[in-house]
Amino acid sequence: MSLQYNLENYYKPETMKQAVDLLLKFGKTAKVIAGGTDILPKRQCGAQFDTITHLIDISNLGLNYIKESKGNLCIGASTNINSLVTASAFHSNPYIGLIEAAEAHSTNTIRNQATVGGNLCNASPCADLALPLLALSACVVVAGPKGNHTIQLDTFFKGPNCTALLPGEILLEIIIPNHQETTGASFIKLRHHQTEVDMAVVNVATQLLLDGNNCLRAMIALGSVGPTSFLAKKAAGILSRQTLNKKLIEQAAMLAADESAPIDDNRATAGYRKEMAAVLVKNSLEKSWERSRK
Amino acid sequence: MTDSYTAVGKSFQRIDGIDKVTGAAKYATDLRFENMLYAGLLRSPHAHAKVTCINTSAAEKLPGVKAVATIFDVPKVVQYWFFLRTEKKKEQMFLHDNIVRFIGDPVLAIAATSKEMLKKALSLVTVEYELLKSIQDPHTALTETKVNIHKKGNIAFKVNKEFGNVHEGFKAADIIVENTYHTSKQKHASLEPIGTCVASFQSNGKLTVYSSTQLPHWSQHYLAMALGLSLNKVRVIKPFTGGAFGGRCGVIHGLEVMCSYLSRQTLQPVKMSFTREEDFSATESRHPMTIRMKTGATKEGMITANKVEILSDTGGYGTHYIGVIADCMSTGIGLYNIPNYSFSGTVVYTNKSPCGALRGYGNPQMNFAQESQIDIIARKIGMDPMALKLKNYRREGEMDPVLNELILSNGLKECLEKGARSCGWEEKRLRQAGNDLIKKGIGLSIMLHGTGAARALPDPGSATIMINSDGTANLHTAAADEGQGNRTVLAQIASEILGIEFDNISVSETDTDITPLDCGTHGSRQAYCGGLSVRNAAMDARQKMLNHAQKYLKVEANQLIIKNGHIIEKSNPDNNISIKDLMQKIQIQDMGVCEQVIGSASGIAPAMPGYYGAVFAEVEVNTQTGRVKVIKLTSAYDVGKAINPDMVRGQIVGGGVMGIGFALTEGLQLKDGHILNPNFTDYRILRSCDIPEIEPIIVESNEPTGPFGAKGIGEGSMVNVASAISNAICHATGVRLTELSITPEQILQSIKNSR
Ligand SMILES: Cc1cc2nc3c(=O)[nH]c(=O)nc-3n(C[C@H](O)[C@H](O)[C@H](O)COP(=O)(O)OP(=O)(O)OC[C@H]3O[C@@H](n4cnc5c(N)ncnc54)[C@H](O)[C@@H]3O)c2cc1C
Repeated sequence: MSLQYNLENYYKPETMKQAVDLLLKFGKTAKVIAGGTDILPKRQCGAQFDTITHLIDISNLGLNYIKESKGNLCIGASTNINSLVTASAFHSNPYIGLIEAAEAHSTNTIRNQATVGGNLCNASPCADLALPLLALSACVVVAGPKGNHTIQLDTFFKGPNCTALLPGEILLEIIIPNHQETTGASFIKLRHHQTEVDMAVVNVATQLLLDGNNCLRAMIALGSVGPTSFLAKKAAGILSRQTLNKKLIEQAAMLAADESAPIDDNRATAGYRKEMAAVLVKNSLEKSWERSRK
Repeated sequence: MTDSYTAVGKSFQRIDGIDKVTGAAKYATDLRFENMLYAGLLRSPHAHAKVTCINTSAAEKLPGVKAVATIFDVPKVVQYWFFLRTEKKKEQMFLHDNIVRFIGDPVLAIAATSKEMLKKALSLVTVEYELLKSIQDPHTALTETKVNIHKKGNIAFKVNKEFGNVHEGFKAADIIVENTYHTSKQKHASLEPIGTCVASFQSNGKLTVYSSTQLPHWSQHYLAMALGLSLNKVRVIKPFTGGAFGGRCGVIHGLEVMCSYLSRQTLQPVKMSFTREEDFSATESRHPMTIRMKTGATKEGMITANKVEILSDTGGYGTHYIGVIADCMSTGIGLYNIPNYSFSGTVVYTNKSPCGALRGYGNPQMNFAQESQIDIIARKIGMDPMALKLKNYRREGEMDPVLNELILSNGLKECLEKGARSCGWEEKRLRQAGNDLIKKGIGLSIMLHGTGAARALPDPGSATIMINSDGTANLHTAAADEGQGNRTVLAQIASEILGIEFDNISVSETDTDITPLDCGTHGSRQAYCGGLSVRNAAMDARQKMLNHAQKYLKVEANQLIIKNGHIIEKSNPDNNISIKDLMQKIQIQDMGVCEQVIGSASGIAPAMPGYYGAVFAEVEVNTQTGRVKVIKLTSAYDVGKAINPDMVRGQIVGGGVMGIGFALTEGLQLKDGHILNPNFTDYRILRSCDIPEIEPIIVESNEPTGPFGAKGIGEGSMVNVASAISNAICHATGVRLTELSITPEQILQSIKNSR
């Protein structure tokens, strides 16, 4: 049995302050709604979200934008996912992974509705956009009762559906620092077979910045193989300051798989996920490497 | 009959197409009535328990709560209409006890004035349970003697059949292949969730139930029995339905009977709608089976023996479990002429959601095992699998030993030849896989499925046709159309025989107060059985029209034919009268007559003809991830005669999609009786972008007993898809998968094991 929300409990504040006040007022019974593509189906499925009786719609807060500021690229939290694909700002080498992730996300219809902020705040371990953003060393700007502050994305995810946001806090913006044009990037998503639209079984994003074959910077982000999306730092560490070769990439891939802690669920077993984490990291690094040479 | 048909063999648009795309068609969920109450179920959180006490007093105090019905008041329907055959068997159709047998088993229902009130009321009910040990594994059910899920124990049914002597058959074999196969708990996943009805008791004691059932008349019978009513006091109306696939093959556990009880208390219409989650977790699914099969063949490719042992898991209740296991037997034995065959089937109860009918019945499970075995043999003896099949299949003119019926039409050879040519079988099957990361393969599988159930079940069919005074006609049939389009096909048959234009024939709604007794829609039967009823009713009406025409045309009826809406003297075409003029005369203008032409027919089909098919599946397997991609299905089916070719193609493509799902993506996953994937995020049916090219090929073998030569197609088109895909995976990688649904992980593991 499920019920739709009553309209009386749906709020569309005009200012950030109103939004924060509403969140504080209703506490645990309130949640932000952006595109609604996570929160509404979850609510429909019953118990888990039955306690949420107030929805705070943030679409009037002017958070739908992609802009450059001080050499950084900034994405407003309620920017929908298709906007990333069409934005010229991301049509260069370092952001290919972000575009690939956006295109691998759901379907065209859902992407017109689903937001980048929603994808991060939902904090699903298999969220697609989280991975290229982690690999790009993004940080997020948060508004709350005590004003704005910035959190490194790397420390933003705390567990499945759990973030560093405190009561009354709202995600405002995602900031991507500047990256050298020669940075190679890629995103790979493994789905169940015969399916083109599905949550990931494993997803991976990598970044490589090279000087010749000397690796200046390596980033490896993994999804669906732990309680949160995360950066495999040990694996990336063995690439840094080294001369890249196939063997080293394979070692890094194995190490990344070691850093993962997947579980068995209805999509795949932990064992398969771990094995695929290595395969995907290897394939993704090879792709990033190739792209960094272009 | 002429060979140049005017309506048969033409792809008319479906008669309800426009209503459906414009939203004018009303489905059960759309129904609203004055004073209607909303009902919902409280379901058991336990897999196996005795309900000792139900306290509804707090709920009943709520102002909007109008009625409560519990497991103590309402019987469950636990058999199918096979059990209507004798008075003694009828008693076994119902079970009335206080045991819940799976997580989600209904404990009680409440009817309230609003959905909000209903939700609140359900939350106020308290139920006390005495927990019983639950059995999840069918093998445990077989051996466990201390826990009995039903009074008679955990074994629901056993069947054994033996032809020839398998022992001798294996002695004569050069190779013997033995494997155990497992198949999944597939769900129908129809677009419209299973489980919506409105029951409305009137003060005159008449019950009307709107339900998207496949079996309006049997539902009427079940309801009459459950409520102690006579049949004239129970009316079942089937609104438009968004797909059924066997999931509505009876009344739904906890639905129609519950609602009728609630409505009897209130004399108000009561509506209940299951959510998708309830559909997935508490309505019937396909029987998962463990199939052990030992097959012997000579090196020349003659199959000498097959020994089959099946353990079928029907869950907490079973309705169709006898039919389903019998179907494994009849389709398995029927397809090939294997001289020595031993079949033993056991059905057990477990504390899981119940199983029932699903497109193909027991055939897809059996076919997966048997067609895998045949493929293995072909590989072992180095023979083209197609040649092996052609050597052993049961041909036209042979006896079907299970149905005890002569095979009058079998277009399998043509299916194989046309399919093979179209997909390039010869060349592709000889292609070597090579060392690429992605390996290509092609696989073949064939099938036989019965049309209707004339040899197995009470399977009546009826139709009436009324010719109107303007020469148009109304066809009344309860051949429930679940979306496959049989009302359109039946109108085409009537049109052909009556010589009345297709557009001038209206087909009634399905309503037991109006439409004559029909078994309903199951067993791929409606083009054939429904078609025969309509054909016979139309012939009856036609004869009556000719008889009337004698008077006006002054010639004997046997000298008359009907063409283009006119009744014509064969040897003198100028002597004719239009149907319209004749009907005007006899119904109204000629006051000495004043008679409407009404044609009718009722009875069981003369046979249960097999229809056949061959599927060629082409796949790519990624050996790094184990992912399979089906590139193309070439699916050739012998349907006897395609009354409406587009509709047949629709069935072939739809079956292909469902078959790929059965092979690769679908299946309920359970943990301790909980269903882990009761939604479309986690239960993957193919999305439109996941569907590969499916090339439907129609073969017409002309079944002599069928209307215009037609037989079935509805189920068969999914039956042999999974086996064809599995055979293709083996062709690509060399590994044999024995468990459905096939996962990337299984493939990867098998590849590793084979190294
Ligand atoms: C059919 C379908 C397919 C999908 N496929 C994918 C897929 O392939 N990959 C994938 O990653 N996801 C997928 N999803 C999940 C979902 O679409 C994404 O996670 C999406 O990005 C969520 O964005 P939203 O704006 O719709 O979030 P919402 O549902 O509006 O919100 C999600 C959560 O974040 C919170 N939230 C949102 N915005 C803010 C904010 N600014 N500040 C604080 N909290 C906030 C909400 O309170 C809620 O808890 C799919 C969903 C559907 C329905």
